[in-house]
Amino acid sequence: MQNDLVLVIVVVTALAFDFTNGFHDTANAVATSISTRALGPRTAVTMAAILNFVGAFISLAVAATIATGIVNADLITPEIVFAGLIGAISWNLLTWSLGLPSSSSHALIGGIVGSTLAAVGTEGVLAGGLVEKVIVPALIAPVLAFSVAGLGILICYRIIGGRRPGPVNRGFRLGQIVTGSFLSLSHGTNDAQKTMGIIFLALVANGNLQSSDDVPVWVVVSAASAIAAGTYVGGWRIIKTMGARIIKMDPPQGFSSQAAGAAVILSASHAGFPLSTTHVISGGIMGAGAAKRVSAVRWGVAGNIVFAWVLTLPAAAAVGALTYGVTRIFGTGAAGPLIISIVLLLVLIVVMARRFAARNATTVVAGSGA
Amino acid sequence: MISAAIEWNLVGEVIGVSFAAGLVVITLFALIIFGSTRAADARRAHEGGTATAFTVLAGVAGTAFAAVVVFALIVMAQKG
Repeated sequence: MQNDLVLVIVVVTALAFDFTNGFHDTANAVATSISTRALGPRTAVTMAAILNFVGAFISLAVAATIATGIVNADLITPEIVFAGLIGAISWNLLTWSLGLPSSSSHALIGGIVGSTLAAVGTEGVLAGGLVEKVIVPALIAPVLAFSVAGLGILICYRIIGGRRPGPVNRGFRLGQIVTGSFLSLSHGTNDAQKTMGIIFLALVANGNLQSSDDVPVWVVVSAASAIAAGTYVGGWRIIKTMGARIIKMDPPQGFSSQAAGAAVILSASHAGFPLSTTHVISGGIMGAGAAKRVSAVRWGVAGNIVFAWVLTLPAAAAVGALTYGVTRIFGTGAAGPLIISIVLLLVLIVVMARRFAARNATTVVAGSGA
Repeated sequence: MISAAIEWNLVGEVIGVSFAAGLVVITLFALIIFGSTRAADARRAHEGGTATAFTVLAGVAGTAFAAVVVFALIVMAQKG
């Protein structure tokens, strides 16, 4: 009974992470399309939400688990997964509040690595896997997307140079609908799988499933729904950063960054090489801007983003480890995860209520001043 | 030891395919725009032959672009 309660808490927390993953990463697919007015904001996020939902059903084999090869799966318990998820959710919420695009996958890996370290020590973490699956891709992804988008926009300008901007921009806006759709679809196929993997792992650990079983339909549907709902809500702060604060984008640049991003993500995905969509798209946007004019990129904003990338793994790991430590204070049962969930939920409600009240007060003041 | 864990040939493959795929897609779409806008200009100037040539260019590039999109969808679906 107590194990089942822990399982329920882990499943709900995993879906909460999936939701934050959705709204945190909405910007990856829609920011450039909104910025160049290829699509209206609400149309863009609605389309992204639907394609994320569809993408979650396209491939299920990847739902093994994101932590495979990074931590020793035999030593993982539902409490470790719970603490790791809290680390990832905390980092996603913090970077969202600062408007910084950061990798949800790295946050999840960081959280799980941190809670594993706290629970079983260094023997639980596979350093080689961490370097191969996290560090190397994190170094390659943005540089690769930067280079492909940069070279791509130069070719693009070479071909369309001298043409009237009106029809050219209209054409590239149409192209952005295709490339943006691809990004949303690939995001659904990659990121919803992570949550499915986490829930599947918890079900196996709890004895509800064998590791050879198929992923249950309810897991697929709930993970797809959570990421789609998160995407629909839209992380508008990050959309603003990616769409307008890194560079001032024209439609050919928007198309090039998205096409380069889609090409890099698909190539990597096909080769089984894990890349962060956030790193890829951010790198693509910077490349498309820098190729036109190096000073077109706001390097201060870009620097903040890269700083957040570097901090993601250790920060999520620290919160994951701390959460595990606090969980253990209440013993090995469901009490720890339950108490932490309730406390964090209350904190979240208070923070959101204060933000809402502050926004309403600003609106009233602005209204009375008008 | 850690360096040995990295599959450098895989890294090379991803870099090579990303460059090829990305640049092909961007070039094809730029050619669609170029062909269709030049064709429209030629039609306005009553240059029938030139308009046809650029329409064909846009059509071929469009077909190739559509083929790449379909191929990418197949790759995505086969991942599972």
